[in-house]
Amino acid sequence: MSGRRVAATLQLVFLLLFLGRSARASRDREDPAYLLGKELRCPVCQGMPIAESPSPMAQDMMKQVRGMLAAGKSPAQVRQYYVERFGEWVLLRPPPHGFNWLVWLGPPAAFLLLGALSFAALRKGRPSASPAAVAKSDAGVGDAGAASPYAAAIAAEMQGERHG
Amino acid sequence: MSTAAMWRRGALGLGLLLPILVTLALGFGQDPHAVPSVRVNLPAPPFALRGLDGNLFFSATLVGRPALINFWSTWCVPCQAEAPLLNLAAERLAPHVQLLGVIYQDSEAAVRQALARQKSPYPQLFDEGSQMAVDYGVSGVPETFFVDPNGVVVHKHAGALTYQVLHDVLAPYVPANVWAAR
Repeated sequence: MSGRRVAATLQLVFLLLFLGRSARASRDREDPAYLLGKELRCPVCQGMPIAESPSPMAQDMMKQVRGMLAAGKSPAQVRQYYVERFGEWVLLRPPPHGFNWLVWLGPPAAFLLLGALSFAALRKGRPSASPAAVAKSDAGVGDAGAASPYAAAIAAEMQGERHG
Repeated sequence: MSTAAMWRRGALGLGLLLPILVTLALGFGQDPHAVPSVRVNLPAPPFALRGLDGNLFFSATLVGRPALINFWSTWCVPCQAEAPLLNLAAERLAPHVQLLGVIYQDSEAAVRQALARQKSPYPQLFDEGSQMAVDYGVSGVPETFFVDPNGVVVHKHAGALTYQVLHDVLAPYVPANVWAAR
């Protein structure tokens, strides 16, 4: 098989895989049980929703969620059902009250604080472009030694090349 | 950079880093088993589960007697460690406390094989579909729930049981001479 044919076959395989995955993701997004399962913590896993956990407990819980939704319970009622058994800990999106506010407001507050600090640091660190400084830098490489030892070293190097 | 500026930067870095470190330490140090049960001080959820003998066991039969409900699996190492204590407790405390084993996320064949090697002196129940585990808010095995004679959950213990826990929780329901014969 020629290289071109191998490349074309691989492209086709990847395209089919991509389309299959997209179709599944789109189907999942429309499945109310899956969407609700994404909000419920698998009790035997580490921070994983029951909709995505392979553990038998999570799969049993997903069956319960489907059953309850099919029986006409609302997502809020299903959430409450699990909160009554496991506590609010079971909700991956904790309701905004009390200590939970920290989870909601902490990240944007930290982001804003870091942004403000970075902005302040950038402003402080920017070199001043006063006319005197520009005049000094325009005066020639020979004068640069007073401002910076590196510039002086470069100037000395260039002088040496000219005379050498 | 001046010393004052260095101190300022150090303090700023520490101020930003400290909350993150504290949050991580609290988060990683938290065992899901250790999450306090919302079931404590509430009526124990009712159940009707099939036992090893094929008969249904109804929670209603527990009324008027304290119960110890132990969730376990054959694949759980701490469950194996606590099994001798539970068997001993079932023999010694039988007239005063009802012990129940609830098999969690395990195959019937594996359970029968394990119990053929070491016979259980108290009823073992199959929790098909994890309904009872969900009702009790079980987040792993072993977990043990203590129910008082009025049918109220009085304590949840996560991890392998110890004599001390048994004694501390069941002492009000068991005569002192039973514990003395340890």
